[in-house]
Amino acid sequence: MQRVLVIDDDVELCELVSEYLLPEGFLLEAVHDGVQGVSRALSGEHDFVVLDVMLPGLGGFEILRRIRAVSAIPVIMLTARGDEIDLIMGLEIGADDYLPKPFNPRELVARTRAIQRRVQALPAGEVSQRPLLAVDDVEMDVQSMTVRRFGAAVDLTSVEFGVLEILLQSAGSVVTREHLVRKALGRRLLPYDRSIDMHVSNLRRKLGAARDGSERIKTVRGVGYFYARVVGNGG
Amino acid sequence: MRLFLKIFLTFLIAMGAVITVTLAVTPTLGQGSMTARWRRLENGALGVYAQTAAEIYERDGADALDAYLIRVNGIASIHAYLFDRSGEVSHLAAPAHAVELARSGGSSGEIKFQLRPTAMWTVRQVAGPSGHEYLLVSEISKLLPAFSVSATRVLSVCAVAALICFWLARHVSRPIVQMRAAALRISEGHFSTRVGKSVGRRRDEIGDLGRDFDQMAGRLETLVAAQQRLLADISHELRSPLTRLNVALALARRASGDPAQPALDRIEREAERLNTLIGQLSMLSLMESGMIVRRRDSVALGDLVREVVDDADFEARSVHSTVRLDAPPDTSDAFTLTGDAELLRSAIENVIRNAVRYTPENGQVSVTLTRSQTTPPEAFIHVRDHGPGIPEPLLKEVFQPFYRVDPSRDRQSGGVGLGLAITEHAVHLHGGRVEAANASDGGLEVAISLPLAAS
Repeated sequence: MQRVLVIDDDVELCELVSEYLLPEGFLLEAVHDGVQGVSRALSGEHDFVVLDVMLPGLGGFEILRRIRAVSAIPVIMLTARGDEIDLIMGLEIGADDYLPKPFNPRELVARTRAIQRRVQALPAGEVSQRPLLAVDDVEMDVQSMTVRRFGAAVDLTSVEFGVLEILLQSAGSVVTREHLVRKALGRRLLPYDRSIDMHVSNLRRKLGAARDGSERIKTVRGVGYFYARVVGNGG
Repeated sequence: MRLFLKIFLTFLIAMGAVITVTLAVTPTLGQGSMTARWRRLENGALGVYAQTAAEIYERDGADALDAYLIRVNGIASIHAYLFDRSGEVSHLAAPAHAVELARSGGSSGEIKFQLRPTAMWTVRQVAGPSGHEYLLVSEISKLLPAFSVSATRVLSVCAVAALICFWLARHVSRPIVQMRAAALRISEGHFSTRVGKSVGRRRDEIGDLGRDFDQMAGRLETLVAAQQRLLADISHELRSPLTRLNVALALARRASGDPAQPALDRIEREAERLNTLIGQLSMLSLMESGMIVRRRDSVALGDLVREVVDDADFEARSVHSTVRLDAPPDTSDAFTLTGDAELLRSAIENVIRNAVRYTPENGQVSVTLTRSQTTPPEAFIHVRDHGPGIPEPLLKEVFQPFYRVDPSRDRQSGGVGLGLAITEHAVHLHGGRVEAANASDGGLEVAISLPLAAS
């Protein structure tokens, strides 16, 4: 049984979602208040958090920020549909995925399962036989989920970690957006879905430019991304 | 600055005229008044000064005389020197002109005065207590400074006048310029703009205007904030029940058998349509009220169009249609503009999805992206479908909210009639145009033109 924490002020919605999720194997705890939500999320009793952006009082972003300051627990944000700013902000602060409201509960189940699968798969080494991935000045320890650049730790969310892992594994060759979405977000690429681009742009920002000043992760228009190796400096 | 120049030049010309007239008239006036002053002095004070000077000299000596004459200079601005027949008896180093006057005045024994450009000289003959004869030569100076018209004086007067005019013109025009800038900022959506700090401190009518302006801006800000809150609340409050409905629908799906599925599918579609409508309505009203604070980022329009076309093509495959893009091979740098990428994305997306909607199965939507050679350069996006087109007289109305050419078909195809209205607003916000026309061989062609950043 997976334990889910839902932080949403819509009491009736929480009841409905709880009713829906129970047969799917999720035990749901609902919290309708931000401050309480943060303390419950940090209690360590849950497997992941579903967080509404439009919360009165503390607000979804602030809650996410407080959770992320301490914990790497997977967080799915419920955003207002069509509000790109919400989406960008949420992913920037460190949400693992988002779901626009009104959402289909099947989609919620699919996304949580995908994240769960990925989080559980990582230590077992489903996609990573080598525990240490290193390209130029960036080193990734897959086992402990840490990334170092020039030896200094870089703070990544679990989704960003997954995206970077896939890119580093095939450094120098192109990874399609479809592949990235399927592997890192655990779902198929939908039209008009830009969340993978948000995660990549977060990674770019957090990793900074390569030593020769160029972008580490290059865009191949219409196809996907690739992690560029620095050429010709023996690094 | 035009108002500033107007006021400045008007006052400067007026002051120049006044100064010219004054200078033209003054010499005669000055002479008259100088003569009058001399007569007063001659009849009264100068006689007393001369008598007293002679007495002091004879009684207390030259030092006391000097002190007295200096005191007279201090009180009446008269430089006076006492002479007898052998020369100056005061020790005040009388100028050569005074000595000359004393000599000539002494010989004739008469009282005389002489007008000089900067001063008036008088010679007064008196007898001391001992009967000895003295001459008091006085220089009455600085009676009327403007009397001597030199070029530097005229220039300095004009400079002062120009300074005053400059100050006055600035004093009047600056607050107006500031208020204009504030009004412009408010019209751009910065409703917190106030002029109180600069204009409102004045205690005149312009200050009143500034305070009234701020009051108006405050009222506007409150109203806009209230409307914005209302819109956000409405879309939030309408979406909450929709969200619950969606979850309840999923529960119903699980609980019911196959016969109920088509009806449940229908409920899901209608809920989705409502949701789209709410989203588009709130976006449109935000744009119409100018409350979308436009973000000003550098937007790569070529990449954006390519992405939208890719997505639409993916979506169109479900009805076996295709969306094709015809664009120059390298679009990354050639199509850069400043604006809000998300607004532009939905503007272009709405047109293309609309075209897909009206294109029959196995049909094709073609999108072309071109760049004009004009300055400033413009980008043209043509979206052409192979649908039924629109009757010629109704072409202009497709951009009206909730406009439908054929209500029954439109509803079937899932549109809510707001997409093109959003497109038009978003394109206008970026200084562009959008037009619809029927292609010669059937189908609708929508042309968007957007001004690009000069490269």
